[in-house]
This record gives sequence, structure tokens and C-alpha cells, in this order.
Amino acid sequence: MNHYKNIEILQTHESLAEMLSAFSSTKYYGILESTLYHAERGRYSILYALPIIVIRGYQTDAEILHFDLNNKLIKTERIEKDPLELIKEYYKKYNVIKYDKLPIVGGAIGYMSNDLYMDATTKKGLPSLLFGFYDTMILEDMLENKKYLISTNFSDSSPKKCQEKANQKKKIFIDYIHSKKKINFKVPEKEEINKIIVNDIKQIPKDEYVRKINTIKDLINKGEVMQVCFTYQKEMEFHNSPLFLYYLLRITNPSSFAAMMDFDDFSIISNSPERYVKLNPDNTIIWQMIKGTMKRGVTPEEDEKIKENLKTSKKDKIEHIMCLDLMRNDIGKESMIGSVEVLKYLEVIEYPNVNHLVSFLKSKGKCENQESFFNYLKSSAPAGGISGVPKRRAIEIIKNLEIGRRGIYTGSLGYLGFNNSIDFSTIVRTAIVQGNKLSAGAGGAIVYSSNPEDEYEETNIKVNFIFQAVTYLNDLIKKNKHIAYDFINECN
Amino acid sequence: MKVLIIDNYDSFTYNIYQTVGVITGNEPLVYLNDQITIKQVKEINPDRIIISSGIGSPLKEENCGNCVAIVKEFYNKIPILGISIGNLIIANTFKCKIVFSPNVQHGELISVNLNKVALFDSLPDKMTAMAYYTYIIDNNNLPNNIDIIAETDTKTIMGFKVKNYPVYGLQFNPESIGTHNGSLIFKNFLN
Repeated sequence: MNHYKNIEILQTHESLAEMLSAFSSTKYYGILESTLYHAERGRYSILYALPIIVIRGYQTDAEILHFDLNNKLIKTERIEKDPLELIKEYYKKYNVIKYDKLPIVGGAIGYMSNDLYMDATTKKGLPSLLFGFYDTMILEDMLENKKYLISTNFSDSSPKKCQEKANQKKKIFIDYIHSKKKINFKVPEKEEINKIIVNDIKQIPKDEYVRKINTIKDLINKGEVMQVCFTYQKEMEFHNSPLFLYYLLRITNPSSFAAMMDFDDFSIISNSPERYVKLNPDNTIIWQMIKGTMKRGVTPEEDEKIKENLKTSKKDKIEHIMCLDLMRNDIGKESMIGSVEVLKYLEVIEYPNVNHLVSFLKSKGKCENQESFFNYLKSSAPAGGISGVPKRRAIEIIKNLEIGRRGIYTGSLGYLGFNNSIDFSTIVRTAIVQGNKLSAGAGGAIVYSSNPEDEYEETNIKVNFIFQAVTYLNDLIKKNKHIAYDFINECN
Repeated sequence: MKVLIIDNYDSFTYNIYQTVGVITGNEPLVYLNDQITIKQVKEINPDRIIISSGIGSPLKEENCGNCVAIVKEFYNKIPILGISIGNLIIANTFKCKIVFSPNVQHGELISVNLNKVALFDSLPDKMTAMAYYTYIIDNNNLPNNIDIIAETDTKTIMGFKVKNYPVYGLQFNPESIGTHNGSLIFKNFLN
């Protein structure tokens, strides 16, 4: 297959988030954004739209949706195949660009649900994985303050034809941005959202939660397991646009791995602080481990005190080291002997709304990225941080005690870049919107010294910001119907 | 050097794999505890056997796979090192009594006093180690053929050697990131 790649600087003062709304009438558009504006914790952001194909994978089969240049669905295929194998096959076909100056120059962008690894036998719900293949996108480098318009084309026709097609697609992409309608939506002050008191969340009652945590603690005391990441879903009605929710959350809870992904019939709005895995074009792999959370202080003095508490908290340290040992194990299995390095160990890093204990690791894969990544998924997903230690037993306990399936929550989202680069975040602090239903999972690691009441509090802190924003947007609709309606109707 | 690691369905086994691989310069062989038989071990003919940590009671057969049979068959032929549950499996095979630990140690940094034995060459008398366990070896009525080589200040057994044979058990996890100089122990064992 021939390919053509064009990268040009895009001269615009508009942010990617502003440009995002230009695609609100299309299907399968989105943004992967570092809203922290922090070179080390998130340098690049990606705006993508107008996929060539979309693969929607279920347990044992998949749909391949083919689109024309104008986002019109032209063909749907059904294929009986393990969806992960299918993605791998397609990714290999496109992963042919030799280029390492930018992290991505076209790629497959989407998610893999937790169900894909933990519960592949259950009945059909949302796709267990979903990837769009994007040949045109805008990449922003926050450090250099540059935006790149990237257009690539892959086809069997002549290189000249590839170039023509890429240019044609680029023009369509830019036309969308130029013809964007102004949105009548003003993002409120962060403080206004932060003081909202949330009601009407549907979630596990506290007494039932405490009972389940005590069951886990009994199993830990009997030596059956050492750590279990117990999670549950919180649900709320949502009557506004997922795009507006994204616009609010990127202000109230900036994060390294913010994302808004439209999937036609549902969408993901993520504010994850946590990288799942990153594979560089030279086959080195970067891993990040976040375990241990405390709130931010109101004053700098209080914040310092909390950070010190987190650093010296025995319970948080235990959780973290245990998971780090497990992560080293998972990495070690698929990495070249002697290549696993610990770059940062047990550091307290502040995030906009919480303090976290963080470690970073690096390794070199035994194979090329496109093999390494899928081998790693096969042998080691789900990650220890969202399952437990030892993993096999922890997963059994999770399946027994958690209510319902996790679905997309605790899966991973990101891209398989066509230049042999891969980057995924863990799907936590994330809202899934389907129709008028919004759900967000919350959880924490349970160890022998866990206090059930504290754990309940921690799970509430973690995603409260999502429901504050949802409450704000719902109230807006109630009070002032016209504000968002035009836009929502246009989106749908 | 050919090292066989028997994996008790643990989540730390490949930390041993990496550490040992760096020392020997080649990939150790890893088998799950119920997917390796005495016959296979004979065919592999390893220079060393390491039995990984695991979960649950070492007295329950389903938690040990074929480890007990392999220890019985090879203790006088091949040097064996057991870690955590691997340690308890060997101890149990040599008639030590296994009891509940008075306090659960799941990822606790503990201070271990080391005896002057070859396994701890070039290590200090006292080391910081990460330990993950619920069960321990009862230090009352130890069989005569067991030598304690490491213990805590409160006399919990942290390591033993079988008399006259290069067979060792460690209650703590030398492969953990929390254990200082843990790789020296593997180096000594492989020497």
C-alpha cells in the first residue's frame, strides 16, 4: 500500500477545544487534550474527526463502518473475529509511516473497555472496543506553541493519487473549521461549579458499600488476597450536551489526559490523570503508576501538610508499592531483560483537585510496538492498579462483589499512531453519556488497613466534580431553556 | 546458567525473572506451578530452581501445584530457593509447622537480621525488606534439619536453610522494589 503524509503549521489563535465544536454535526469526532498546560505532564493535544473507517468490536465479532470524505456512512461490514485481533490487523496495515518528530501523524483513536479483559463472556452492551481510523487531524504542541495540520492518505493507487486525496481531505477538514457556527455558551467560573451541592446520584448505599469492603477485608485477613480495587457506578440523568460537559470539566478539573470522544450513539468525557502506557517509535515504553490520593489543601500551608501526610501515610505507601511491584511484574514479562527502569519512585504530585502518589517506569519491549502492545494486553490487562494483587484472585473477587459490569470504566483510551507510537490513558474520572443517562465509575484499592468509611469518602471526592458540572448543566436547561437547545439540536 | 522459576500464580514472578535474567545474562524459564512436572524438570535439567510467592495457605494443595513433589524429588540434586509461599512450601515439605502470622504483612517494610551465610554474602547484618505474607513458620519445635538464617527482632523466621543441602526459604520478597539490595541475594544463590 502507498501512503502520503503532509504536515503543515496551522496559523490560528483558536484553541483545539474551540475548533472541536466545528465537528459537532459529524460522527466519531473528538479531542485528546492536555488541559493542564504542563510540558512534562502533557505536551500535546489532538483534535480529530472524519474517520476513514470505524471498528466497533463486541465479544466475538465486529462491525466495520466505512465513511466517505464527507463523513457519510457508505458501507457496514460484519466480521466474525476477535475484535482485538481485528484492530491489530488493521493497525499493522496503516502503521507504516517512519516519522518520530511528532507523537502522531494519523492514527486509530478509540478505547478498549474493561469488559474486554475482565468479563468477555457477558451479553452485549456498548462496544467492548471502538476505534476510528483518522488520516486527518490537528496536533497542538503546547511547549512550542505550534499547531500542526496533518493529512495522510493510504491507498493502492499511485503516490500522486494519494497526495491528491490527502489534499482533498485536508480542505474538507479545514472547511469545517472555517464554517463553524458560534456557540452561545459561556463557561462559568470554576468557583461557581465547585460550590454546587450534588443530589440525585444513583449509587450503592453506604451501608452496602461498607459491608462489601468488610467482606474484602475478611478475605485479606485470611490470606486469600492482598489488595482489591473495588469500584461502583454512579448514575445521573443528563439533559445537556456532552460537548458542554467537556467544556466545563476542562476548566474545573484540568488533567493530563482529558478527552471528549463522540461515538455517534454515545460519548466519553474523560478527565483521567493517569497514563496506562506509552510506546515510543523507538520501541521504548513509558509506564505511570498513580496510587494513593488525598485532597488538595485550601491554603498553601494546608496543602503542604496534606502532601507530607500523603508521603508518610503507611496505608497509601503499602497500596502504592504493592501495585508498583505488580506493575514491574507485568512490564517485566513483555520487556527485554534488564530494560525495566524506575524513573520516579513514590513522588507526591499535585493535580488540580487532588494530590497523588506517583511512580514512573521505563522499559524496552521484546518486539516491535504493534506486537508488544497487544502481547502486553493479552498477558497483563487489566492493570494491577484497577484490579488488585495478586491479580487473578482479585479479579475473581471483583466479579463476585461488584454490582454489574464495569463496561468502559477502567478500560483505556488513546491512540495507535501510524508512526509506531502508542499512547493510552486509564479510563477513570470519566463520564459515559448515552442518551439522557450519564454514568461515572469510582473506586479505590482496599488493603488490610483500609477504613471502609474513609474509602467511601475517597470514592466520592474522586468524581464529585463530574456531577457538579452535570448538575450545573441540567439546571441551565431547566432555568434557561433556549441557551443550549439550538446547539444540542444541531448536534443531534 | 539455566534457572527454572516456578510461578505460584503470583503477581510478582516476573520481577524475579528480570532480576535473575540480568545476573545470568539469559532468560530464565517460567512455568506455572501446575504446568510443570518432575519429568519436565528432569528434561529441562536446570542449574537452579526458584519457587515464587503466591497466595493463600501453603497447606492447601491447590495453592502449591506440583511444588511439593518437585521439592521432594530435587532437594538433594538442585539448589532451590523458595520465596514467601515458596518458602512455606519448602518448610512444610521439611515438616515445619505453618501458622497464621499474628499480624498480616501485606507490603510492609520490615527490618531483617541476617546470619553470616553464603546466601547473604556482602549484605549487612540488618536489611530492610518488603514482605507480603499471612502465614509464617512456627519457631517453636523446629525440625533439627532446619537452620534459621534470618529473623526479625521479634524472632519471626524470615529465612531458613535445610542442613547439608543448598535449599533455602525466604519469608520476605527480595525481588520487591522495597527490598534493599535484594538482587545480591539472587546473585549469591546463583553463584
